[in-house]
Amino acid sequence: MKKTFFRPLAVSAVTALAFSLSLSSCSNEGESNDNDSLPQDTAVTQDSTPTVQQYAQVPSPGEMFTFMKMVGAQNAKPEVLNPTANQTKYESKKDRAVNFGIYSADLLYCSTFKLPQALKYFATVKTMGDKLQVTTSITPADEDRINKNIGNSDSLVAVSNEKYYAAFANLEANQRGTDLSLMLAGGWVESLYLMTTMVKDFEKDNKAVARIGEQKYSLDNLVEYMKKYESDEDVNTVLKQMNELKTLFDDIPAANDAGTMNSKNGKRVLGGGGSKVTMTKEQFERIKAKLTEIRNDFITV
Amino acid sequence: MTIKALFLALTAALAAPALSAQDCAGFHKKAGCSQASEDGFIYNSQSKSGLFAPGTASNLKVVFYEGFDYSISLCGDKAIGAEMAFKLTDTKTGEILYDNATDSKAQHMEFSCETTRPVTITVTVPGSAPAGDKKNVKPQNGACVGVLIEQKPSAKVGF
Repeated sequence: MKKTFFRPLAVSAVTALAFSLSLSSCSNEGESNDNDSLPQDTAVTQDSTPTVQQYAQVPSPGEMFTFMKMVGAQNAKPEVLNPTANQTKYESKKDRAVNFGIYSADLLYCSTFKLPQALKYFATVKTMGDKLQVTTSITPADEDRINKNIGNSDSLVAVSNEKYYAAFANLEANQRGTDLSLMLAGGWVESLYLMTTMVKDFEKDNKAVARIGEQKYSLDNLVEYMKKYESDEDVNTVLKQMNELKTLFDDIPAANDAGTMNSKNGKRVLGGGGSKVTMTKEQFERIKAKLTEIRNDFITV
Repeated sequence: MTIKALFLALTAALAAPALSAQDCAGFHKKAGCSQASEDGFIYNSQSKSGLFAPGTASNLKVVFYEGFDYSISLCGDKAIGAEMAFKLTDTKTGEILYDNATDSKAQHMEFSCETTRPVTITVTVPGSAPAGDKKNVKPQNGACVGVLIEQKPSAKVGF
């Protein structure tokens, strides 16, 4: 009787133990791969106060180009993009991750400003994604959609954004924070570089210049995000470059007084801060020069 | 309870599936999370989901840009139960811009942005924080929470 009783119990106990151990190892996977897990900044407080985790978010290239489109920026041209032929040169993980971000930004630039090169950059993003082993979820049907919508910016942007978010989510879900850091840095630098190429006359294009200056805030967040992975040599190298750029952006005065949330015509409005972010022509030229230097370093092997 | 029943109960408890952070990825994209008041709002990439333990909070540092309307929706696992607390603070000055404690614990809010600002969204899950290691949320204690941010260009008024 005892033998019959204990055998199935022993089996189920071993099974449960094995299952629990496997779950535990999955949840600890991020911890064992310290460089690739998504570390969380946690303030250890007394039991009565909630512990706080902190995340710094960065806008996507598509969102950054939307800012430019909204202020009527024109002069979009394919000559400023990273040539698709360069993709064969990117062998190291760092070059692939950074340029995956760069080509994603180029695709969104083509989509936003209706450049016919969108299809070519779509294919390049897929290839780079494959090399980096990132799921971009790009299918032949997507390529067909791009082809059919070359003149339709809204549809092109929707497809391109969808693929960008899929790649982002894939890297995040698989706790590839290092690669995601590099992709974000590449995408952000390329986006801002392309934005600066759209400013032909500093005075006349002042709204576009203001949008560029506002990116000081997203750069703060990007640097904060990357700092979590600075123990990785590649991230550390790129982070140093971002900090050089940040030093120039920090020279731009921003509104120091507090924001306000008021009601206007029954709607909440976030405003306040006496002055907006403004930069001089000299500051703009310095930032543009540094951006170009960093961007060219990224795309040149 | 017999030893056999106790053992089987223990086995079942050990074998119960637990949430991981990966399970929460994309939680904010699930149907029904958006509470945007009108059409035209599109996904903003600064949205985020995460695994929360009771009594824990998370700060999401984002940037809101001039010329856009924003919709912020919170969604959480049923396990969370009561409404989550959330507030917006000016990242630079710490000024509280919005606190849902003064808004009937609303789980959604919208606003129009007239000046580009860095803002911190703080979400707090109700309950008492678990004792012990506060750095890592144990899967069996956690629940998914999503912060969905959506945007659309602000309507131009006047001539």
